[in-house]
Amino acid sequence: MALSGGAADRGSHSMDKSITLPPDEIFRNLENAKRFAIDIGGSLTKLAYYSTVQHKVAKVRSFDHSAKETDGDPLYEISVQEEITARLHFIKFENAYIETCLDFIKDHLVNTETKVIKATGGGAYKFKDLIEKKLKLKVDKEDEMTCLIKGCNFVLKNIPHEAFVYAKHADSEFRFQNTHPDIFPYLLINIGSGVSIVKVEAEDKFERIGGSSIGGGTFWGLGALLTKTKRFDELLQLASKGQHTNVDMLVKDIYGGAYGSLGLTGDLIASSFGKSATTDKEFSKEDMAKSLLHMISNDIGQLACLYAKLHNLTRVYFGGFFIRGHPVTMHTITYSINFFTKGEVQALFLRHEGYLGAIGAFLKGAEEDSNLTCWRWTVWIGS
Amino acid sequence: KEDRTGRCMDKSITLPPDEIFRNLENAKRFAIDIGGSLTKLAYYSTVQHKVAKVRSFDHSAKVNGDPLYEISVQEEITARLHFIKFENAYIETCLDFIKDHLVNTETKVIKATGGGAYKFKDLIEKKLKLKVDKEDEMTCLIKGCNFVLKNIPHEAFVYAKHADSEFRFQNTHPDIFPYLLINIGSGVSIVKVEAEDKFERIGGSSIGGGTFWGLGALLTKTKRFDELLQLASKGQHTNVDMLVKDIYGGAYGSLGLTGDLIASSFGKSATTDKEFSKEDMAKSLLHMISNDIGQLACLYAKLHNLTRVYFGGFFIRGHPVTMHTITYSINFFTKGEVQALFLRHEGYLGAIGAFLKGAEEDNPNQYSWEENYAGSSGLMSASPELNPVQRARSGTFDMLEMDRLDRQLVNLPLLQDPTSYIPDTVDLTEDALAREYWLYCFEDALDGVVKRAIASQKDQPEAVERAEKFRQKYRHKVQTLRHQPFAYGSLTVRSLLDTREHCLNEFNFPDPYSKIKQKENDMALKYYLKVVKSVEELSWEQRQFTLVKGLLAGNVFDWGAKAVSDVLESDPEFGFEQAKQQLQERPWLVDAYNQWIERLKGPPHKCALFFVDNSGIDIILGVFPFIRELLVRGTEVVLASNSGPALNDVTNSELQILTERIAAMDPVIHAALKEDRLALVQNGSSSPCLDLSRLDKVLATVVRERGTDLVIIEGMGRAIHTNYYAMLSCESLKLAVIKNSWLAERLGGKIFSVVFKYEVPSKAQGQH
Repeated sequence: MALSGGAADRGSHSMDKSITLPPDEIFRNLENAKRFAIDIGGSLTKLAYYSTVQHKVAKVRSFDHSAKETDGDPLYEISVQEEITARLHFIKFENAYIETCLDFIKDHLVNTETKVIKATGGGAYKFKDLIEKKLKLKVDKEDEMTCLIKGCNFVLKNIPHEAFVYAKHADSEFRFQNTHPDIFPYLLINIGSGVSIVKVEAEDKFERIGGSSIGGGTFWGLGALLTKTKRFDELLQLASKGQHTNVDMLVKDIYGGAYGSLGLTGDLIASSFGKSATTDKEFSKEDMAKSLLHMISNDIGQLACLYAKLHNLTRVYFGGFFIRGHPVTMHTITYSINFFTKGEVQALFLRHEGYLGAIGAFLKGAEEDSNLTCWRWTVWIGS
Repeated sequence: KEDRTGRCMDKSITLPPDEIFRNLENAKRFAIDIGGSLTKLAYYSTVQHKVAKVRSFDHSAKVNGDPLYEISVQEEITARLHFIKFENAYIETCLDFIKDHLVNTETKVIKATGGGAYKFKDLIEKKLKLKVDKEDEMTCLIKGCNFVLKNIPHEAFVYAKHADSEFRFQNTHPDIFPYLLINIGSGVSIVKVEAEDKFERIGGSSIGGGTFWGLGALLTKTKRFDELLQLASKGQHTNVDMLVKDIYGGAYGSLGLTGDLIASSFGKSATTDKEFSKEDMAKSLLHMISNDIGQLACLYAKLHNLTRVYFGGFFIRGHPVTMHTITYSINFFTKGEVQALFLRHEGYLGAIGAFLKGAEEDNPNQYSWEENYAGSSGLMSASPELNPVQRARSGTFDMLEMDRLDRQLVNLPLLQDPTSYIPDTVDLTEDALAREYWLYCFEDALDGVVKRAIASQKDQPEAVERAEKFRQKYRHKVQTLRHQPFAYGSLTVRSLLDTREHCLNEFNFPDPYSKIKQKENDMALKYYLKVVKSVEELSWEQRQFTLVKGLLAGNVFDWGAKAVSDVLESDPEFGFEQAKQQLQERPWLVDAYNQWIERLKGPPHKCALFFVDNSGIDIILGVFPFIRELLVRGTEVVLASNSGPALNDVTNSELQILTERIAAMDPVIHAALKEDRLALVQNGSSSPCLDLSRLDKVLATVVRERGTDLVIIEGMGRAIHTNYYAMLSCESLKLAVIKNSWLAERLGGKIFSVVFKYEVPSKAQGQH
């Protein structure tokens, strides 16, 4: 499962390694592929396509009963037949491989009906020319937020146990939620470079009700400046090893203990980085990264809670590259939400959060083919 | 600018401490608020003032040549609050000074609050031999905030960096609750205040001033908070932040995000491999923190349905940079629905609150208090951005003094909308031309004021020296106001006049006009019967016009106006009749006389409230014949006069004597007094102008009880400089002679133009 993959592993050598898996195991069924969609983020590309799959299926057929005479004959006949079913494919890879991947797709793309590729994500316009040149498909840009929400609605409706609660120290880290028949309304907090807070009320009704510039890019950017560590994953690694209390000013650092009359415990962070304002010492990279992580997670958590309260929403999903598969950030966000709502709201995460944009973009394209969307999908996601 | 930050920790106190810690001999009830870098000390003292008292002579013994009444200068004791702010570095020096001058031995305890209170506890106890009594920080902060909001007009302001006037001061609302206080210290506390003693910390954030300082120090290697702000004010955040257009090539229209919006703070430093300038990083950090706090403030305000949001704490304190970014952020997030409000005395809130906690037995909240302009530093005198010359003069000390008023002040019940009432006609902080003129005018008049002050105390040789000190102090105030017009709230002609009165009092010139007033009153009384008689002989129509003209002519006699004081000093015989001839012929500059006469043909008013102006000819030959006619018509009259002296305005105690004397001559006045149809009430003010939102409570009661349906406001100070646009819920008459050619020109007239404004509120119009 994608989530259990160690962040360090992925992070340390993904920029320079070649694709080790044979591409035909990744881009399966390309021969029948149609309706491409691509979501190019800041570091990862997500590709979606639709294929028809030839299955061998075992069919049973009753013998002709009238002809039935001997007791030893089997009750019915088994035959293996070919059947064609539809399948959606989603593939995620780092932007560094985009050219290699496009080349492979081009070589294996037999279906000539496809004229267009739906594209979304901040990188869509950066790579537009490359895609058009390589694939000879017209890049059709789709609104990022619309795709994200469409994708989110799709996975929440179609994938059981899509959403989960993260509990670091519990027996099972992941507590999966049952799919509710009615998924609306909900709040989606997308933590990319910045933060978008989106209220989703129905399939096609959503609104960006808030946002913040303090997001994943801030963790990354400030983290890089403070620690000279340039990689996001490494920063998270540093953070997971640090002690924020060395850098942050706690309530007890000011008042010698709790500030009881205001209900503030002594360990509460009074001021993020407050100690570095007046202390003249060196701070460790780990401690600074941890303090930064807490600062950003708490801030987002508080904003999420306030918007949830203001709009009377109880289901709050978190996504975006800041969250994506990182136990460290899921933990701090969960902690923050618990703190600010006193447990009334739970932070929910999505198993396929990284694919939302690609799924949404694909669905936008498929809408032109009305018969696709009304199906109930069994989703295959390769990675 | 660099100067301050560079050497403020090591320079010694430049001002003699006795100019800072004033009146220590009588001090009691100390309170101290020790913050991260500044200490705020509060104490209460009793101040001995010289006041001019008038006393009637024994009438039986009165010979004709004697003056009407006796003037004596007496000592009066009033209560004053002192607040002093200084850097923590001076705390020991200051404590030593206090110890040496603390004579009062009753004081046993000093109330203390603030994070530093427990750090300096031992030092304070050792030095002052007072027991340190710790008070809850948040409670003190809120108590202090309530106090300044209630007692200091123009305490709160909106900051607008690029506007004509950076500071837009707000009117004091009669009801200050509920409000939200966002205190940005090291962290952020968001407090909802619902009543005097009811507040709740509804939220907070760890991203506050300490984060700006701490992260800023790590990023730029700049260790001082002020320097970081300096860096930030020079930086370009767009070099460090990732904007919406950096991601999408332009605006993200469908989401309503403009291209210049910050998508990700420090987003560019995540992926760009270059060096960023200290300035740019500091700016980006400042934006990040201000925006975050702004958004949180808005969300909490919305969630709790609050529209008044005040910001304070060291992050804000006097820093235009942070006030600007917070204001910007609040505007952005509420689309202008909520305004970020700041407080002039924000730095003192904790100290004020701690003091009030300790002074509860003195019931400070039962009194009204007034900022003493003579003893208070202006807004941001400690700000490095402003006026470095003045900063050097005042060292690192900042002071606030508040005088306790003898009476409680309330709104005039007849204000149409007390929340939108603005006393002053022209806001000189906004009107640069008018500001320039009036500042010049007051500076130019200073010699004359000094001369008159000395003349009023000929018997006291040191008066010359005191008058010289007065001159220096007032000139300094005027110069400060030229550089920082917003120093004491909105600059107005009224505040300039009030500041002058405060400064005169400060140097024991309680009533420089007392003798002139006496002489004029004496002279005018001799003509009273003659004037009344001549009026009585006229037909009704003629009589009304003569009475109004008399009222206006009397108002020409105003020592407050330079043009007139020149004439009066050179030609003491300048008489009443001559004044009438000076008046503009009808139609006047503002002329509602016909409507007024039409109204007089109707039923009499029930009760008229008359805010009187000058003593002498004005009150005796102008006002009395006029109200006499009202009394005869069957209208009750309330004469409201100043509680304390200001220029040649008639004071309540003078008016008592004058009225007695007139009553002795005139049976109409005599009967009215006896039957209580004529009442004399003080207005609670010692200003030549009039703030209808701060009037003696007794006056308000009288006005209500008598069913007052006509308000008459007379004179430039009360009807032109203030209240010209005041909307009342009953009929009103505002009349004045413009005795200043600049002002007359501005209003489209010439000197001695007449304003006769008769207004009927639209609702009442149908009744007549």
